[in-house]
Parts: sequence; structure tokens; C-alpha cells
Amino acid sequence: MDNSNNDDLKDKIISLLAQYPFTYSLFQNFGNFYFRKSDRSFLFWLQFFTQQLENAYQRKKPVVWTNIFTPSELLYALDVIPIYPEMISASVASIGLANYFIEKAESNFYLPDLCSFYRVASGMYLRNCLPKPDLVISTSLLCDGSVRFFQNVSRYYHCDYFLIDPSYEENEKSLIYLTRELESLGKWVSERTDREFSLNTFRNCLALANESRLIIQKINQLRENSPAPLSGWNALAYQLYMYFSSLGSEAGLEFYEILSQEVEKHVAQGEGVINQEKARVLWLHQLRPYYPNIIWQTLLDYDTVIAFEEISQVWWPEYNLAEPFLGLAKKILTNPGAGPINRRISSILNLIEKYHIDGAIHFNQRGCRQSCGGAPLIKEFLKMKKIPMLILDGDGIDARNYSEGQTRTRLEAFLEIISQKN
Amino acid sequence: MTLLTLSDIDNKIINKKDQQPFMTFFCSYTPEEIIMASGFQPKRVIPLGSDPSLANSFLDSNFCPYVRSILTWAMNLKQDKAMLPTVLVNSCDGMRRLYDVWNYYLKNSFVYFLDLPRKQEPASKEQFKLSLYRLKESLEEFTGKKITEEKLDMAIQQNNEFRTLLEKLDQLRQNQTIDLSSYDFLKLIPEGIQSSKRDYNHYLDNYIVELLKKATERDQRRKKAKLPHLLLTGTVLDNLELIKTIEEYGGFIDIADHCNGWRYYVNKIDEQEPDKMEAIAKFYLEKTACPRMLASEEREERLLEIIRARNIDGVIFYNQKFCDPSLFQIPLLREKIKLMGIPSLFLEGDFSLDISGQVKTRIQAFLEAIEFG
Ligand code: SF4
Ligand code: SF4
Repeated sequence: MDNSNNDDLKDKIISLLAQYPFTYSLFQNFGNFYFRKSDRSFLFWLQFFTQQLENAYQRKKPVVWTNIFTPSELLYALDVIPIYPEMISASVASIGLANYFIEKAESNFYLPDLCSFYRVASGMYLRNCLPKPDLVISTSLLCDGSVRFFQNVSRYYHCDYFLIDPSYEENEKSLIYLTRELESLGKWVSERTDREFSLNTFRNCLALANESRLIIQKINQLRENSPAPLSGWNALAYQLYMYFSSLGSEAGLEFYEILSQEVEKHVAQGEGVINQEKARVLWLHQLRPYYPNIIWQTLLDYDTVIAFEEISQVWWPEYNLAEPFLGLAKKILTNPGAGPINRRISSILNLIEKYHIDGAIHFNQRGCRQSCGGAPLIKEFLKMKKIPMLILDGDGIDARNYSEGQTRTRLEAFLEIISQKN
Repeated sequence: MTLLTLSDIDNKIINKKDQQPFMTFFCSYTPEEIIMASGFQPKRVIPLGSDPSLANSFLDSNFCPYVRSILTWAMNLKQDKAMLPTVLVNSCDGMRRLYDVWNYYLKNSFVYFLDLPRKQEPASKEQFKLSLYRLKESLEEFTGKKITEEKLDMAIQQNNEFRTLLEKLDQLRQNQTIDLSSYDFLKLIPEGIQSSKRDYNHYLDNYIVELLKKATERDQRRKKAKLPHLLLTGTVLDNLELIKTIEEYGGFIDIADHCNGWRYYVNKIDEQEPDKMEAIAKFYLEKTACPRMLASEEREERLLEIIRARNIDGVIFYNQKFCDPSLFQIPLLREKIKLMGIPSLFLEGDFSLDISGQVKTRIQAFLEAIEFG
């Protein structure tokens, strides 16, 4: 057997394993044992994540691929199984498999200048390692990639694609436009899945999301405490997964109940991620590196904690169940990352005050124009408020774009400065 | 009759007494007709050689060189106190962030950011129409003059005529009825955009007659010589020297599917539509789509038909580095082209004045491979 035959065999085994629903129960059981000392919230996520994939492979319900800024509330109301390729890419990177998929994507001309989240996801479907979608739905928030990637997916699998395309401006007319678009999405999905779209189910999902939202707000309030009761590093990993994918479901509510108990306990016992905090950092951008790296440990070495992340804020108002589509439209349209940069800047300034922040780190995901493009202006505004900001170049998934030496040097220099502030 | 160069245009046409002041724009989705009806002369700026790295302190170096070159160019103008009124479009993440920086550092007398839906549905068109109305109102406020239906109608007619003449000329060129290089043809587009349309259309009319007269037997012989037929595709063509290089190496460019190439003139505005703003909204939203639009898929299908119909021998993907909309169009289109047995080449632009030796070599090798393949 030559090498290419070996590779073919390996590809087949990996793809077969990925497609075998039982793999996910096995993975879950193994995880439950291996991570038995971890927080309950983490184990809950593990079960939620593996169950979602298993259900999708068993085709228990229609499978819809979607992006993180498509409100999951609507997908649960539509009674479909949402699959989040960007977030699955992060999980894949954390178990060291990203390169395997990146290679495949790049050999198919998903070039290295594209965001690695989409390169890994492309490699995954090209290697037949994701459950086939029945439909594809995405918003054009927050990046160009989220339109073209999902359109390519729908063309690859020959299934229909619905783009939720909010306007740039936030005004009454654009709100009505988006509300109508979401209403038509309900109809669009039910026509293609032979499912009645029930307003009652939708309201129930929004009610669940409202409850989760209240708990998230409570957690966020608890996070104002020093020492910080919740690890920002985790908030940017499995907790973020739940934040984007579970709102509107029973499981989501349960997850946030568990998480809030954990946080409450830490606060009650005066325990923090670090008990003697020298500095508190705000993390900018909705991701961090998911492969082994030195960032978190370096922060800890400097007694610095990620007190909050801009992505964890609750920016949307409580849903009015009498006008369910309008509520979702508001959530999409008022996203601080959408529209002009001033919106993002003022939300960041608020968080800095609220969480007693000493410095901000903007993680410059290579290939992410929408976020990195705003970083210099954000830095300019923070400078006026005398808040140091580090623009840390890197890549959430593609470890080839990570340089340990450079990361260490830049991070340490920054931490020296902010830890001297207090 | 010799072809006017850009500087000729600047001197001969633009500086005429009745020449309107310039309003700059960067994206082909900018409704030129509304700008013209407001009393301005639209000018699409594609700033070559303006060292995009100077923009690095304001925008990430991860941005396409077009966006960064525009910023450097605009900053220089600001320094010289020579900023012009401008319309930007929400075409991509790059342009969105460029507007943020522009708004903060450059604030000029008039800068408008036009939103652009990605879909072509009736509701999207209505939404786009509202944005166009807001642009119209802003322009009216800025100039103190009403943009009337008559003025819009006149602009629509002039631009339609311009696009029709370009199309006619390009068809004559593609069929090799006249001896006109793709390079000389594509130069006409920016020249025409920034000129008084009445004068330029007249000029183009004469130019076609002149070229037809000159179509000699030598041209007929040349027509028979089989050159490798090429299709180029991408967003903006920065440096036309690239086209010149391809032609010098013996390639024949059938279609340059770029926003300042084929896509600029292939569609026309419906002159029969009584509501002029409706006609403009429909035209821009439904014209042959650029890679950022959802309907890009239909354009890609159309390109495949053209490849078949015109017996295209090779495809060149000419992209601006870091341009996500066009980077995402490559994998599927390239795969389909490959299945048709057509080779393709991937090149990236950087807004520099010269075409690098490496790019030249790759073009040469590609054309040789086609000839011997
Ligand atoms: S990191 Fe940026 S470019 Fe990548 S998917 Fe997220 S928003 Fe898009
Ligand atoms: S080339 Fe691409 S990234 Fe650059 S401005 Fe045009 S669409 Fe945007």
C-alpha cells in the first residue's frame, strides 16, 4: 500500500466515524468520565453538543446549518436541529484536528486569506464529516464570509438557502423590513419541511429565551465582582457555544441555571479565578485561540483575569411575546458589532466602566475584516479614556498563524503596563 | 482620430466651462445617475500606486488593497485640503470599516454611506429605494437644488447610451471586426464615467465609425489567427497594465468580468419605467451581480455559458488580496471550469503601478500551457 492509499483509508475511517451517530454517545460517555472533575456546566455542554450532532446524524428532525448570529430562538420554534459549522470548527481545533480539515479546504481553493473558521468548516464538509443539511439559513452578520460560505454550502449540498440580510442602518423602516423577512423565513421553512409553523411554539421558545436572558443578565451582574467569579477563557469556549446555540430551548434554560449556581457559589464563597487580582481585562472579539497556546497561562502569571468579554453582553431587550418577530428583528438589528463602529465603541466603553477594566485585548483573528478593521479606532477611543489596549494578532483555529514568541512578548509587555496601574 | 488619454480627458473635457464639479465614488453600485442629476460629475477613483501600507495605522493590514489605497489617497487629499464630496457603499466589510475611519479622520463636506441589500427580492428593492431616496435628499440639501425626474431621466438616458456604445464597441472588438485591444477598450470606461456624458458619447460614436473604417484586410487576417481566448473574473480591475501584459503575451480577452469591465455596461436602466427612482433601484439591484451579491450564483452560471459559447480556452481569476466575496467564489466556479476541461489561473492585485515579474511569468506560462495543452 502506498501513502495515498493509506490517506484514503484514513479519510474514509474518519468520515465514517463522524457519520456514525453512536460515535457521539461514545464521545459523550468518554468525556463524562475523562472530565468528571470539571464543572457541571461544562459536562452539560458536552452532552448538548454531542446530542445535537447525534440527532442530526439520525435525522430525527430537519437539519439546518446556520451561523452564530441567526437567533437560535427561531430555529427551535421551527423544530429543526441547528448545526453551527463555525463553532464546530472551534471544537475541532481544540482536539487538534483543524489542520486535517484546513489542508482539504485549501486544496479545494478555500485559500489561506479566508477566515480559518470557514476554512475548517469547508474542509469538514468536503471530507464528509458533518451531518448533511436539509436547509441552510444564515444572517449577513457580522461578516461577508457568513454569506458566501453558507451560500457555497447550500450549492454543494443542493439545498435551499435563506439569507437574513439586515440593513446597515437601525431605524423604524429597517426594523419593519427585517421583521417581514423573519416572518417570511417561518413560512419558507415550513414549506420546505412540511411542518406547520406554530406561533404558540414560537412564543414558548421566546419565553424560554427571556428566562435564559434574565439568568445571563444575573450572571453578568455577578461578574462585576472582584475577584472575577467566572473564567473568561471558558466564557469564550463552551459557554459561548451555548450562548449562540441554546437560547429558546429547555436545555438552554437548564444550562444557564446550572451556570448561575456555579457563579453564585463562587461569589458567596469569595472565590475567584484569581484571588488576588492585579488587573482586569476586557476581551474584544467573539473568539480566542482554541488550540494549545500560552495566553491564558500568561494572564494568570501576571495575576490578570479576563473579567468580561464584549460578546457576553446582553444587548437585546426582553422579547414581547405579542410581537415575536419584531423582538428577534430588534435583537439582530441592534447587535453592537453591526452597523457603524461607534455602536461597538460605546458598548465597549460601557463594559469598561461596569467591569472595572484596566486594559482591553483585541484578539485580531487573521482573516476577520469586520472585527480587526475596527480595532485601531477602538484603540483610539480607549486611549482617550486612558485604557491601554493590546491588538493581539493571531488565529482562533489555524495554529500556523500563531507565534508563541511574538504572542508572549506582546502580551507580557502589555500586562506589565496594566498590572502597574493598580 | 487618436484615443484620448486620461490626462487629455482631464484637460480637454473636464475643464470645459460647463463641466460639473466632481463627486468621487468607489463601488459600481453607486447610483451615478442620481449624482449626475444633482449637478455633480461622478468620478470612480481607483488609486494606483498610493502605497496602501500607509493606511495600516487606521485599518488592519488584512484589508484588500483597494480599501487601503483609497484611504491613503483620501488622506493625501485631506492634507492638500482637496477633499471632494464622496459616496461610499456598504459593499463589503472593508468598505464598512473604511467608512468608519473616513467619518472619524476625514470628514469632508459631503460623505454619504449608501446601504446595499444582498438580495433582489421586491422587499429588498423597496428597502434599497428608501436608501436611494435618502441619498437624493442629502444631495438636495447639500446643493440646495432639487433633483427632478427630468434630470434623472436625462442622466439615465445618457448613461444608457454610454453603456450601449461600450457594449457595441466591445462586441466589435470581441468578434475582431475592429482592431481594438481589450486594454484600449477598458480604458474608455473610467474616462467616460468622469466625463460629460453628452460629449463622451459623441466621441465614442465617432470613434466606432473611425475604427470600422480602419478595419483593414490585415485585421481580417489577424482574425483568423487563433489566439488563446480568455475570460477574466473578479471584483475590481486595478491596473490595466495587467490586461496589456496578457495581450502582449498573446492572450485574447473575450470578457473581463469585473465591476469596471463587462459588468459595468452589460445591463441598462429601463427607460420606460415612469418612476425614475424605481428604475434606478431595480437596475442596480438586478444588474449582473458582483461576488458580494446573492445573485452572484447566476452570474457564475452565465459565465459558464459564455465559456461554452465562446470556446474560451482559459480563465483567469483576478482578485484583490483579502477580498472575501471574490475569494469565496473561486472554489465552486473553479471546480466547474475544471470539469469542463478548461485551465484556470489565480492572480492577485495589489494596486501597485507595475505588474511584477512573477505575475508576468505566470501569465506567460499559463498561455503557453494553453497553446500546447
Ligand atoms: S471570526 Fe470574523 S470573519 Fe471569521 S466567521 Fe467570525 S466574524 Fe466572520
Ligand atoms: S475588492 Fe473586494 S474587499 Fe475590496 S472593496 Fe471590492 S469587494 Fe470589498
